[in-house]
Amino acid sequence: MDTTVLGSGTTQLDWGVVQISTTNLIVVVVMLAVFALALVVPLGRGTRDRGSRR
Amino acid sequence: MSTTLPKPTAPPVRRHDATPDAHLFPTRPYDLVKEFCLALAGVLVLTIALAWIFSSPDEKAVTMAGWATAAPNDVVATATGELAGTTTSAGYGAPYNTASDGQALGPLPLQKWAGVTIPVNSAEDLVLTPLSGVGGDAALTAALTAYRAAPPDQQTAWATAYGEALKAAPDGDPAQVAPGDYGPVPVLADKFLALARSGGLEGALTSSGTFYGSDATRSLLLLADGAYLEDQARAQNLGGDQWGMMNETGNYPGQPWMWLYTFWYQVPPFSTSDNADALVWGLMMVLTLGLLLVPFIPGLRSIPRLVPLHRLIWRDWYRRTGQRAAAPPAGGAPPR
Amino acid sequence: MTVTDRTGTEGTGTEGTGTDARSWTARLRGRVTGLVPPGQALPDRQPAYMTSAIYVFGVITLAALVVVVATGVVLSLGGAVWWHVSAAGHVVNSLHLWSTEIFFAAMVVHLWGKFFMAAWRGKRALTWMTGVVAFVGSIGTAFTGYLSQTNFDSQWISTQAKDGLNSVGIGAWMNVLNPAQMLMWHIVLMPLVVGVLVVWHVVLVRRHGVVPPIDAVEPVPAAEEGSR
Repeated sequence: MDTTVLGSGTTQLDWGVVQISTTNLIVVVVMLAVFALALVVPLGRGTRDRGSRR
Repeated sequence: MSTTLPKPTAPPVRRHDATPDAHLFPTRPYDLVKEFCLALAGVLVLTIALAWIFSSPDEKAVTMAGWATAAPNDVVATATGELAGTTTSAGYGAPYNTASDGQALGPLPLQKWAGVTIPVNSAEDLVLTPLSGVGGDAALTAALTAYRAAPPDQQTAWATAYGEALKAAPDGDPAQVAPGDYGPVPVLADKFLALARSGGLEGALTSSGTFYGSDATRSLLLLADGAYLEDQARAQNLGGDQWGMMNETGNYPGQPWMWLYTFWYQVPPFSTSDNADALVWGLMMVLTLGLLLVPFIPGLRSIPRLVPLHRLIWRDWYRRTGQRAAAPPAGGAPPR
Repeated sequence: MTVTDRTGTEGTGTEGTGTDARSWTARLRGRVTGLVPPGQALPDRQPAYMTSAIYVFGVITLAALVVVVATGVVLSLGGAVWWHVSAAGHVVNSLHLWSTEIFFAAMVVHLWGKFFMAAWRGKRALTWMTGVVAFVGSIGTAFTGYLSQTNFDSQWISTQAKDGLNSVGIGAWMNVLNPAQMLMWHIVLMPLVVGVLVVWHVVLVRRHGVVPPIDAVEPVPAAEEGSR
């Protein structure tokens, strides 16, 4: 993977036809991480079982 | 007396959606309004933090004067090109003119069908009209008169020849152009450069002689006909074949959600096609339609079963009720 | 029973609240109140299967939208070019940008979650579809926002985007090179479209309730069990 640092301040990562700025990559990685976390983190006091209250 | 519960039913057959009514399930207390207020507070805090740390980009617009100062030869070449009809805008087609049929989506010439709704005559509107607005310059007035008096073929011949000569000159420098029959075109191009440098071109194209101008169509078409704007953009990886649609100026996050739209431009057949824009649009419309209609598309709507992330999401429920996703439950009462 | 009103007219005391089928008002009232089951517009309980943090991304998206609109309103007070000349304006612009980034990030995580939960089940196809159209509409809104920056970025984006739009004929009436038109699309037209879709989407969620887990079985009512 090539890394190009341009005078204007953008750092690009190149991998074949794919070019992505480091900032964008960070955003995508953070979103995926947040999604993965959301799948396993419980909401509120999730394990309490109160049966069939209406 | 022991309770005997009816055997739980087998998982629903694919074709029939037997999803039970959500309102029949056990509930627990939950404060939606408090949840919203917490979400709002959280978003505000995060927004303020990000804005504080990173601010937002604001690269100054390229002015005509700035362009003329930074790349004068490009301005001269562009003005000449407008007169010769060789610029992008001159040969664009709808919605600006009829010089070309434009792009087609397969057999459908959608661009042409839309018609000329924003008429722009590149030579006249972008170059000659602004020049005509300059008073008190005898040489310019004479050049304009000579140019307008000549038949269209002659005008094109002069401008084309001068354009070629500029390309052949070192660095496109008008001062080093080979002698030839260019008529009044070199004078017009030079006066155009002077007009741009003076700042007089900023308003001339936007207001077009009226007082209030807010439509930047002509200014932007002229700017985009030159090479300078694109050079500046490509330096920041904003070019179409640089995944530019996803990027922002400077080090700012751009628009990562545009990844699929811009991806197609990077690969054949789109990257080499004259109809790339229409083809990519058509493809993205089809894919968007696919996303919209997921509930109705067999295979696509089954992916949640094939990639069972839902077992994580609802692991608590499945464990407590003994129900297993995609597996027939054993007979008997589920644990309470 | 007779009741006498202020004018001295006798009546049954129920005038004005009847269910006259011909009354447009009564019919509209019926439709509006029938949109959501009683007590479900703002319930204080939720299904016991909602035990994952993935469920908060809808409300986060909504909250972010509120901040986007609020910061947009402040920007409108200063006008289209205020943020270039004012430090306070630039701060508000930054808030508008970052709340929009959060809005999109939360919306996409919400979409991923809803997809893997197959949330369109149980007659919820329209909920999914209004969500997708709101997503696409949001992209359009953000796009017109980028076009309204009145700086280099908007110069570049407009001159590039015009080719895509022109190629399929849309550019003939959506002129991205016209900042005055694009700004009004951004602050009037698109927010109306997105607003309607978001309201519709949320009403549908409240109407149908949050989708049960995949392969969840309808629970046996408690009353039945107690009587055996």
